[in-house]
Amino acid sequence: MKRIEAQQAHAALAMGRHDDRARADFAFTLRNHVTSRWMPATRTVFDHRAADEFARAHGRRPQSPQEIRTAMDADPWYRFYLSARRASQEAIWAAVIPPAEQLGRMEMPSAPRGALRLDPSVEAPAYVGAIDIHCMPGGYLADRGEGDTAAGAVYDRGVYLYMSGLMGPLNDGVGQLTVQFLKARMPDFAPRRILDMGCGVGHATLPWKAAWPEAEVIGIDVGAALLRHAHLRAESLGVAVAFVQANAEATGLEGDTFDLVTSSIVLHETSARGLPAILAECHRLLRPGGVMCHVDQPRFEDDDPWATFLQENETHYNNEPFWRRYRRLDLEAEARAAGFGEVELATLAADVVRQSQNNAPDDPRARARGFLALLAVKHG
Amino acid sequence: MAEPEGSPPLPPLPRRARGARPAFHDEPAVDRLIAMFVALASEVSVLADRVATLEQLTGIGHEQVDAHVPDLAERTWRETRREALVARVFAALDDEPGTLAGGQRPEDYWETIAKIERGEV
Ligand SMILES: C[S@@+](CC[C@H](N)C(=O)[O-])C[C@H]1O[C@@H](n2cnc3c(N)ncnc32)[C@H](O)[C@@H]1O
Repeated sequence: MKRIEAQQAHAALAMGRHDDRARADFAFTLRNHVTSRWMPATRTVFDHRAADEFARAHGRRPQSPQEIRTAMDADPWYRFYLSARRASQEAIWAAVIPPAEQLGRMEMPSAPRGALRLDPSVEAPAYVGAIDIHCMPGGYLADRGEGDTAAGAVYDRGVYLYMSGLMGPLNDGVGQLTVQFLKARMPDFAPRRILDMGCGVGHATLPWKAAWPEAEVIGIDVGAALLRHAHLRAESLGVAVAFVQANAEATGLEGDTFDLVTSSIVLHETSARGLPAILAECHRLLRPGGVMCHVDQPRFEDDDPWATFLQENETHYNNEPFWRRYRRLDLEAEARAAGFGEVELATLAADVVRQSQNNAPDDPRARARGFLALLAVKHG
Repeated sequence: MAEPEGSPPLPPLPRRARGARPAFHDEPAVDRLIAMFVALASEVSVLADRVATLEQLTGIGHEQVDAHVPDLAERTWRETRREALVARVFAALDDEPGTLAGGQRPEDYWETIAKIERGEV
């Protein structure tokens, strides 16, 4: 599954010259080949060879994700697949880094509708910078100083290629999904102040402004170059949003002032210490009656060890340090521990989730999968 | 792009993720060959696209292309281009010396994960 529509142009997007674009097109093609052809084929290899080999040695077929891993790690096709898959991930970054480098220092707009507030004294939590998440060279925190937008430019292109274009021309599929979910779930909700935590380059931030044009929308992140790119991008697209450098665990923003605090695919990249701190900060920031809504990957399903095995590969081979643990957390209990009374979980099904989880065309369970929304209300 | 007055040019961006690359094969040469093959396929694809672009834009025929002999300036430009191609295709060979020189080990990655999972950071 893929979407060929080109990424929408904006002033911050680094597309490069003809051959840069062609190299990115190849990375797109290869990435889709990996998820739609090789990833489903791993199951065939398991059913027809790896599980049998395991059974010959152990007297029974593999049961748990760990046993499936043992069986698969011994299989020569699977090893070749892993190696090629890793190389395909590296091909994405190799394609998008040179055009980002060509940008040099970018000039920020002189009369912006929104705002950019960087604060070099903000310390990023160790989990953001300890590993280059998704194998993105330099990671989220790479910052070469004034006018540097490269980490954002690399991320913006990388997400589009990695997700086979399924996030849409503005990479805002998850943001749109969350807005639709909240509007359907709470039709009378009309937030006036909205905070998007871990906003990155603002892919999921801008849809909030489109949904409630009168609202004040603020995006926070710890990566300065991400935020410069986010600001330039939003201004170029004509959307008034404030991007602020802050740590979601302790934002320094005034408490009891937000109607909605949200995040999009952020929590799984935090830590066992960071996540509860972020939820507690959400509670502090919200006005009584205010809403918290985080959307991210779903919990592992214990009755589907194969899916769990496939997904755990992200920790093994794609630099996702908290993924394994996050996807076993009881988020409802975490939200209650942070002080929220009313808490609910909902599944938001979408093609983009399927693409990244198991792109097998005939897997009915994969079709029903979606992102998980954690929705909670702060009591008055 | 727009370079603000007096600011020094930005340093190059890193080209690889930090840490040692996982090994997928007992024989490391296999992983390297796969990475080279991917890079090579990418270059072939880029060229095919470029040829298609030129054909679209110019309508030049095969005979003209076959008869063309580049002059010195053209040869020099092509050599630079090919050097860059070789560097990209064989980039997989640069990985291990870089890791060795940086003293990074595969265990470092799992120690960091354990810290994050235990909530020590
Ligand atoms: C996968 S990206 C998601 C970006 C964006 N929300 C989107 O949907 O495209 C995760 C982002 O969360 C940020 N992040 C992680 N922990 C954070 C924290 N404690 N405070 C602020 N930002 C954080 C990272 O810097 C990164 O930009």
